[in-house]
Amino acid sequence: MRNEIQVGDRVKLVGLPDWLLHDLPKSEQAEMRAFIGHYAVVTEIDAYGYIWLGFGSTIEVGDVAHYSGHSFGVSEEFLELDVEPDKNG
Amino acid sequence: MMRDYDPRTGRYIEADAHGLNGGLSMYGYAGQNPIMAYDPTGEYFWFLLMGGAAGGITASEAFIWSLIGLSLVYATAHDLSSGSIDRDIWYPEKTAGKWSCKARADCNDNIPGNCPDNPKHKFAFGGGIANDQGTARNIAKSNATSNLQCQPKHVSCKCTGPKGEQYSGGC
Repeated sequence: MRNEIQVGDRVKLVGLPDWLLHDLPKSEQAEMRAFIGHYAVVTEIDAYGYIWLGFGSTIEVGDVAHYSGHSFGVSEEFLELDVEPDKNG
Repeated sequence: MMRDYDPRTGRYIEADAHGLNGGLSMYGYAGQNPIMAYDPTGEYFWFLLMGGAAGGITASEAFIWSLIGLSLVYATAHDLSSGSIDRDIWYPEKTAGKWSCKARADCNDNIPGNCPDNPKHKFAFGGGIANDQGTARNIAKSNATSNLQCQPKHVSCKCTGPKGEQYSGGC
């Protein structure tokens, strides 16, 4: 079974490091903590080995839509490879 | 960045470098409250602590209190919520028939030597406008990361556009 995470894999975010959050606005810290436990697709692995993924949402108010989202890079210890992507939707 | 202040009008001559993130008026001084706050660079507020402010003292009294050194607190952007004041991004204004996005990229300070020493250079903003959300978002993200000039750890995006296009992925 493959353990190394690659671009295109579905992963579960199991935590967030303090160094990622410490200087972000408090509201964004809360938004990002809400992503823990959710799945996303790996979009990039940067030159330093950080694995990038992202979450966001679009809401509609009247005739206007607002999107808010975050992309970020974390080390492998904060991710779990989804070995059953069909089951986890 | 220092901005030139025109004391006759009570406004800065140049726009706030943070665009509309500094408040509704890019030319305003200290949140349009020059008595209660002192803004020597145009980017930071000096907040005057006044125990009796809530009790109804006037702004002039408050100013005198500050002069006699009753209490003065210098609050930089990084003293307030670990830099959250400077870094906040807001939904762009609606542009007819198009998507407008604003992004902020944050420097990865977990990589030794990656981030500049100046706290104001540890993040950067970028904007983008396009017919679809994905393109506008990518332009904004690309501009923000290009402006950052170091390896990012995080990119935050906020976009406004016409309804009908849903997206739940990252910035």
